[in-house]
This record gives sequence, structure tokens and C-alpha cells, in this order.
Amino acid sequence: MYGIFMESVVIFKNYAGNRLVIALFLLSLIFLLFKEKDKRRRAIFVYTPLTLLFLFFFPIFRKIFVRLMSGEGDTYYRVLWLIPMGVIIAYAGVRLAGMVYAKKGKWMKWAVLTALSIAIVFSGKYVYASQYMSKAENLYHLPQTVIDICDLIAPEDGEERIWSVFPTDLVYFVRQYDTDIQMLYGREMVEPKWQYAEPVHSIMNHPTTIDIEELLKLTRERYCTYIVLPSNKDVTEDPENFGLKLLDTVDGYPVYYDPIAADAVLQMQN
Amino acid sequence: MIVVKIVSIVLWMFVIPFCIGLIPMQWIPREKKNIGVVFIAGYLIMLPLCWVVTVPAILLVKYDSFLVMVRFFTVLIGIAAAAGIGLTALAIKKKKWISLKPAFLWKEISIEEKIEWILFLTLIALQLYKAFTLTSFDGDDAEYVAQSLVTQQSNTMYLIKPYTGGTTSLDIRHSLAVLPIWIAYIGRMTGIHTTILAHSVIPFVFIPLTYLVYFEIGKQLLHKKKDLLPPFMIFMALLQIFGNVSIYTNETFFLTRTWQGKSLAANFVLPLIVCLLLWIFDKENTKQADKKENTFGLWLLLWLANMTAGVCTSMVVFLGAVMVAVIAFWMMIAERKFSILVKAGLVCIPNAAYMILYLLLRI
Repeated sequence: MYGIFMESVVIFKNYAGNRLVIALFLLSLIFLLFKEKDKRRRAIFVYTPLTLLFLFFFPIFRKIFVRLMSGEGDTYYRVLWLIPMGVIIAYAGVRLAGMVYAKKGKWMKWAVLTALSIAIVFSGKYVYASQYMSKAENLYHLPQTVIDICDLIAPEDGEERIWSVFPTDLVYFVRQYDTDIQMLYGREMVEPKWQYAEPVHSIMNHPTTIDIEELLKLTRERYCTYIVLPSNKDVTEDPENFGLKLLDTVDGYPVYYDPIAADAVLQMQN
Repeated sequence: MIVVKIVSIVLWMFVIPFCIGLIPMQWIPREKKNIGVVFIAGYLIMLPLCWVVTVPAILLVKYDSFLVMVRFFTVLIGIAAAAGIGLTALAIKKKKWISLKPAFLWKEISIEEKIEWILFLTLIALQLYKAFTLTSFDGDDAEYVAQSLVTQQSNTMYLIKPYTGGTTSLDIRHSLAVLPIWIAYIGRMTGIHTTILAHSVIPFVFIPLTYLVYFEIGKQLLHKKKDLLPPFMIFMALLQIFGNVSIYTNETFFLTRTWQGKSLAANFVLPLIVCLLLWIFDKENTKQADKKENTFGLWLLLWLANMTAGVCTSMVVFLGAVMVAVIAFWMMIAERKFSILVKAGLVCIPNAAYMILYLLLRI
């Protein structure tokens, strides 16, 4: 039980991200505990958050959650979504400003509101400075490189869907643009946390060199007609020596067509 | 062409939900009726209707299940929108209609408040501008966004693996949370690629929708001190913009994964449950003259909010029930009324039904 409790403590710390905004929340909760006189407000914005915090750290609740969520313990942090932290901070903040206004006048109210706004800004983290944010290159909000490659290899209207192989960094986006392009492996194989193994991905994901012969052995078995190689890795041999045709190089990614696999697809269809 | 697409977006994502949202207005206390609440109610009815049509289509229709869903859902929301307009027309005819007044009139508020509201609206405009011009990488999009596109392009639902395109047996866990199908539906009706819809259009609906809920919470909490409402809203906006303290917070989900069901559940459904319970308990325990005004419409909206949770993500079906139970428990103690727990239990019936269906389908 103690171990489960400590896991919840770690989840809570990760959620709070070592930022002071959680302190701001706890201070707001204490402020409302003493200053909020309306029993219904207290029930919703003081006792309910305290109960939910208790449940969050309570090992049996965590066990029930994990059991109900089919073992998905890594999403336990979502229990914290039940606590309206933002509303509690904002409500306590304006209540404080209102109290100051009644006693000290308008300018002090403005001073409190400004100080609280600064506290929110400095205790939090600007979402648009996140490492995951970047300038959108198009309305799809997908890398333009992926769109250009997909436009190059996508089947025409009425044609059969095609199978392809993409480098790890592009697999997330391909089927958000065109689902007529199928892939031998997708996101489920490239996420390190899931630790799945897929032979084609193992070859493509080699840190320095891609073994073309091994790769083609596997892709041809699976009727894969398009291969997009990574832009930053060596190959054991020129792919054209094995019959591949270089269609284009898009943003450093060489895009190959495999006529041998395409013939096999035709034979299979006939 | 682009004008036609914008008009269709306005029709399917604003006008139709608004007309549908008129349906429950006659059962809602008069001071709660405003344009924002109609819009919220519209989504609270439209999304559960989508679930009611989509899940049977997924389970019972073997081929082209999305086509079946599109036909039935179009008829259903057409009827719902017509019902909303019809009921409103009838109420106007019988002189029972209370017009949808704005929460405040611009000319009636002080210059200070005007400055604060302008500041708040600037923060919202910043969020919308950033949502349109920035992109956030999230691995889950390879599943959710691709799922909408697979549906739009293949006319099947949850039978093709979004990651690769291979066929699969029915994915029960995800198939009950049908928000990607709703996005595919809007994509089909507007002719817009679902990825553009998810990443570039939906933030313009879901971000304002969320702030409408915060606005209603703020209005209720500060109805005696209305001058504090604009600072409350500014704080809420700042907390969203600076809420990226980790990748796990609902604020991070709100502005980086706006289109995903998890984000809608955390930032729209859960705060809405708080808002509705606040309204209900304030209304049921008020000592004012209009005490007798019935809260049936609010309980109905809470029922629909619980159903909407299921549209977004299976997990929040459970979490939403926990939230209703905890708030109802403390309210029962505060008001010394056991009936509160009974009513709270009744509005959680959709959650229980959803969980039972989920377990049955997994066996």
C-alpha cells in the first residue's frame, strides 16, 4: 500500500511539473477554506477538491481505477482533472481582490489583480514555448515534406491502396494526410515506451546504416511498392542495384519505387 | 469554393447546434437562458445523438457502416434542429418565450470593466491565432486524427488500423468514444479534409465553447460582484496559456490537443458538470420568489453532459461519475437532503450503462 501511495506522490509531482502553480492552488484552497462562507461554494470548491485529492492518494482508489481501466495505470494523473484547479485559483484571486477593494479601495484592488496575474505567469509555463510547438506549414498542420512525399506516391482515384515504408520520424503523419497509403509499420511500432518489435522497422531504425538487401527481402514479401529512406543514414548498397527506381528526393528523403514488388502485386491481383 | 466551405462550417458547427440547443430552453430557469447556454446545450444534445446513432451502426452494420451513420444522423439532427425552431416558435406564439438576453450590455458597464473585457478577448484571440498558426506534435494524433480520416475515406468505422491501414477486429475501447466519427461526419458534410478540420477549424469551436462554460461558472460565482467577472475570466485565460507546467495538465491538453476527446472531456465536460451542479444547487436552495422554478432542464443537461463524456473518452465516463458523486455527497451534507444523492445517481445512469456495455463488449 505504501508503494502505491508513493507512486501516486510521484504522479502528482510529475503533474505539477515542479512549478509553483500548484502552491498557488493550495493557497487558494486554504484561502477559500477560511473565507468562503457560502456552504454550497465550500462543498464544491473546498470539500470536493480535498476529497478528490484524498482519493487520488488513497491506494485502494488507485487499485480500482487501474482495474476498471484495464491496467492503464499510466493515465492515473487524469484523476487530477476532476479538481477545477484553475477555477479555484481564479475565484480565490478575485475574492481576495474584492476584499481588498472593500477595505483599501480601487488602486489596491488593481495592485492585487496585477500581482496575481504576474504570479500566474511566473508560476506557470508558457504553452506556446513548448518544445512540441512549431510553426504550422499548412492547413493540415502536418510537415510539408510528408505531404509532398504522399502526393508523389499516392494512388490515383480508383486505384488500389499501396503499401509503403517510411522513416520513423515521418510515420506519425502519413495516414493523417492520406489513408490510401498503408504502412508496414506505424506509430505503435516506433514508440519506445511500447517496446514492440517489427522486423522492417528494426532494419530502418538501425542507428547508422540500412541493410538494403535485408530490407527488400522483407518488403517484397509483403508487396510493399514504395520505400522512403531516412535522410541521415547510410545504405549498404545503392538501392537501384536491386531494381528500385528513385522517384525523387524530397527534403533529403530519397523516395523509391519498387517495380518488382509492383509486378508481384499485379500478379496477385490477376 | 472557400466561401462555400466556410458557410458549411458555420452551418454544421454553429447554426445547427444552436437550433438543437433551443430544445431544452423552456425547461431551463429564465436567468440561465442566453445565447452561450443555447450553444452549449446544442453540443450537449448533438454529440450524444451522434453516439446513439454511431455505436449501433458500428456494432450492427457490416459494410459501409459510416454511410448508414451519416444517413441516420443527418435525419436525426435535422429533426432535432427543426424541433428546436418549432418549440421556440410555439413558445413565442403562446407568449411564453423569454428572449435570449446578453449577459450584460456594453454601454452599461464601467470603463474599467471595458478595458478588462478587451484584455480578456485579446487573450482569447491570441489563443485562436496560435491554434491556427502553430502546430503541436502529439503522437496520439496518429490514432485519433487518422481514425477520422480512415472513416471519411473508407466509409467503415473502427475496422481499419489507423496507424498502418491493416484490417483489424472491432476496437471496442476506442469505438465507444465516437468523437473522431463526429469529426468525420462534419468532414463529410462540409467536404473538408478531417485533418484540416481537427487541426485548423475545431479550435475555433472548442476553445470558445470552453470559455463559455467558464463564463457561466464565473457569472454564477460572482453574481453579487459582477465587476469581478472580467478579472476572473482574465485569470482563467492566463491559467490556460501558462498552464503547461507538464504534459499532463488539462490546460496543456486544452491548447495542444484541442480536437481530441480527452481534451474536450477535461476542459468542457468536467467544468460543465461543476457549472451545472452549481446552478442546480443554487437554484434548488434559493430563497427567492422564483424558488418554484423547476430544475428539470438542468438535471437533463447534466444527464447529457454525462453522455457527452462517453462520446469523448471512456475514462471520463468513470471520472465524471466520481465527480458527480463527490459533489452530491458534500451537497447532501450541506443541505441535509438525501434526495440529492438519489437525483445524482439517476443522472449517472448513462455512465453506468456505458460501463456495462463496455464490459459486455469486451467479454
